[in-house]
Amino acid sequence: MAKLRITNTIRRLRFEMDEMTQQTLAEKVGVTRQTIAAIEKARYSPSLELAIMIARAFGKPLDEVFMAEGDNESIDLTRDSESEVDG
Amino acid sequence: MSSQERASIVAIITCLLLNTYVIFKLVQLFGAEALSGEDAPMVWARAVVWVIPAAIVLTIVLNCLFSMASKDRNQKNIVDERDRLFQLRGLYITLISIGLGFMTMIVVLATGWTAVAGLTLLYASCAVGDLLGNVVRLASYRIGA
Repeated sequence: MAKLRITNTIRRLRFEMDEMTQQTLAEKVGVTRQTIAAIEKARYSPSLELAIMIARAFGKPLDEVFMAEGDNESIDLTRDSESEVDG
Repeated sequence: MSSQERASIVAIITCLLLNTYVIFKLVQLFGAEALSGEDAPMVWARAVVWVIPAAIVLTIVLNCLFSMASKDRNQKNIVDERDRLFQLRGLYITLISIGLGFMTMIVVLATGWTAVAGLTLLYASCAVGDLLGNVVRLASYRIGA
């Protein structure tokens, strides 16, 4: 299985939301500030449950907050899941 | 620094302090040949049994002191999924060490060594496992992943 690097737009979204602090986001989703910092720097990939909670905290769909990057190409999560359903 | 990262530092300090004293005490007892009689396992156990309550008290005291000295003292003691991942990583190392110690103890006893030697070996594997587990946990926090 190819290793995917999960990136995110949390930092940008925080600043778009009136410069929300890491601590505020952490309290909203029930984790520590350090965990938010680690996710933001792509050092830690959150569970699907936490990823959904973070996306909800910004009022955005999951694929606008988290993206998967291959070696050279960016992978659209929505397109992948749709093509799997189509079969 | 999160409460769990602080807890791993406290655990390392507690482990080092208590086990340094235990080593000192056991060396003293071996030197005095107090661990060579029939009641040697009882003497050994009496020298070591206080470690459990002492570890609990020392952990609480150090946690309180660290908490008061910390800049993030108003932060809630949240344990999240990343903390649990690091805890499991440390626990895995600890269990490997204890398992190896237990197997070695059986071999040592089977080859005719004394019960005290077996007990000391098992204790040492628990202490080393605890220390390594907490070091791995702290390293995970420091590296960030």
